[in-house]
Amino acid sequence: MSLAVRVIPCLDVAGGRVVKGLNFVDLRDAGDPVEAAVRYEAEGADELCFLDIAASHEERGTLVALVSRVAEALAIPFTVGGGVRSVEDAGALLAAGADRITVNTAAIADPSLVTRLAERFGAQCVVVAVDGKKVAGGTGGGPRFVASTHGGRRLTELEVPAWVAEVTARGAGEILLTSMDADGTQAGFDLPMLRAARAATTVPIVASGGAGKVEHFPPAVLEAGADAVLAASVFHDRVFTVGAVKRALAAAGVPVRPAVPPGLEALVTDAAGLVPVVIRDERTGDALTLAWANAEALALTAETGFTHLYSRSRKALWKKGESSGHVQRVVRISVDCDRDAVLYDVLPEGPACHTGRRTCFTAVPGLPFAAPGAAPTGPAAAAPAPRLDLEPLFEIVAERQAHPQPGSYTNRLLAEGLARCAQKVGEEGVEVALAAVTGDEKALAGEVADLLFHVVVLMAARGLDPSAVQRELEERRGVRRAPKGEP
Amino acid sequence: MSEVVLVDYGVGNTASVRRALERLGAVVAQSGDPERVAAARRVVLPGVGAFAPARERLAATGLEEGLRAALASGARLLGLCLGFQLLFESSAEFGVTRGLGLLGGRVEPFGPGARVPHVGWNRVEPAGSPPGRRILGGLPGGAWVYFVHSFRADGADPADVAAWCDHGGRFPAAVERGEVWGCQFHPEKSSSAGRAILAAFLKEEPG
Repeated sequence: MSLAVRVIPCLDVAGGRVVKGLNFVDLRDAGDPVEAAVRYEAEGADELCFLDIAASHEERGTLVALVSRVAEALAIPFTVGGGVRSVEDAGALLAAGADRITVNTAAIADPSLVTRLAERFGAQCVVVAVDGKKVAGGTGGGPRFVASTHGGRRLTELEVPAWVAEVTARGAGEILLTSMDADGTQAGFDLPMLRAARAATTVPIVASGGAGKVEHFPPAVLEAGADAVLAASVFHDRVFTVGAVKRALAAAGVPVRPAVPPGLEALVTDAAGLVPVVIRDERTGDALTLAWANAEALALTAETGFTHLYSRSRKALWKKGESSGHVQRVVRISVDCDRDAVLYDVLPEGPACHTGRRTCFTAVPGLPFAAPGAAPTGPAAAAPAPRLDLEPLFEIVAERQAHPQPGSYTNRLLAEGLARCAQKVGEEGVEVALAAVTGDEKALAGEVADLLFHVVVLMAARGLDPSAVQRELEERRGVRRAPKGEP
Repeated sequence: MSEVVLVDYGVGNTASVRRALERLGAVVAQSGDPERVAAARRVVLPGVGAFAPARERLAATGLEEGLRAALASGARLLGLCLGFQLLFESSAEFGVTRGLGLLGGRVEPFGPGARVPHVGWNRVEPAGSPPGRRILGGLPGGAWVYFVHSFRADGADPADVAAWCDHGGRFPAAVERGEVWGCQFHPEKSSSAGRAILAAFLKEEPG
């Protein structure tokens, strides 16, 4: 067990509104910080940071009111900063529900403010924001880093490591270190500056500025010793999600609190953290598979809309269809009444079973239940008319193609080649047409069955997967939209 | 509907705790009146900040007597963060201060090598029978909760511990001794895991 590295989305606010792009598709009001905050919590954010970039004295009341609304809605901690100049400013924000406040310019103007804040509210409430900038003249010709104010436009005489050490001694409980050089570049965190600060303090450091890809996050922790990572635009603009950052960190061996989708929290799992998943075909209602998922697999399924599971034999997360192409589009996730099992309803694009069968389940023959073909009892008895289901036909033909049997008509057709299969489809089509105008219902049903069978054989001969036809049909019905957020 | 008295003794911001309990349907009365506390069935002792001044406030305001009276009449007490630390015998924060002594053990600094303050999400391992006792509300092993503290309890009776955490060594994250409950972490800031714990506190009748 160890402390998780925190992933912190930062929201820039002014006048009580979010002022930079927020591209959550389902927000009613993209400018509402409360709605955005709740959404980030649901996505797995460990903490939020609100920075008032206007921070004029007249707007203090607006910021306090915003903090109060955020505290009402949020069940994770949040830090508020921008324009905190006095113990009274900080007290008003903390009383409104902020967990921590950040100070920057005011602390540089009067370092004793850090001491007074720590004495009044405790070190854990006091985050000192340091906006570092690279300047020439470091030892050995390398850069050195100085603290800046006014968005990096004004340099101070304070060296970042010395300043970090001083505010630590004065009682800062955390350092929010932003590289003003890297900020906005999306080229990665400034690791040398982080390392320089790391060597100067024992309190937690939040790395900020420069994140543009998920790969940028692990080095800030593993190579530069950051305790938390903060980013703004990449989350707001949906370049990637909090969950994606956590997966990248976890894959690099960094401990993180996994992002659990809302509604899937507090499931009853086994000792390995796994919950059973029943997979059901949305179209037919058939049970396809019983498998297992951990929190990460559930999160990925919810996030991508494709079945993700955890393999107990390989001890690894996997996406259904990753190698076979037989992916499953998830239309619904349901939780059992005891919260100890999960149901995925899916639109499968191919067989569910690794044996190539449509479902992993095969009926056990010869048991003394209802005779084959007899009307089922129970709830299903109300609908005795069978639905036309081509899946068994596809299965039988695929089975014959894979394992030819002597005397099989299907195998003979396939052996005679594509042209012969195509010719048969033509003949059967004409016979269907004739039966439709001259024959009775039974004759027509027989001819349609012949045609369907030969179409299935033709598809097998050509190697056309049934899912391609299904996809075509769905596109015509407008069911299928462009896939969103595929990994 | 469960009524909860949230002890108001001027130590830290209690708004988040009140809101978290209200979201679960509790009626929360914030009070610094010892008699109101003494008459309560469920009491939450919150707290952020330093141990000694908080301890003095409890004694000087008569709230300590109110808390003891409530417990004597079978009420359930939930101490959170500093309120959790106050349950123990003493604290070594800025000189030794006696605590409420409702639980054995002392509040001590973290061992060398642990980053202090211990800020952020850490995992808790349920203990006791059933694991996590009543207080953890059935949370699975390894659930993540949110901590902010610089000292931790040491020398607690293992029989009182409902969950352990590890930060430079094992320390009690949640305790339950009869109706004396407590969490070092902040359930009101621990998202869904925290909700499970507060719901457990509200669920059954004390006693």
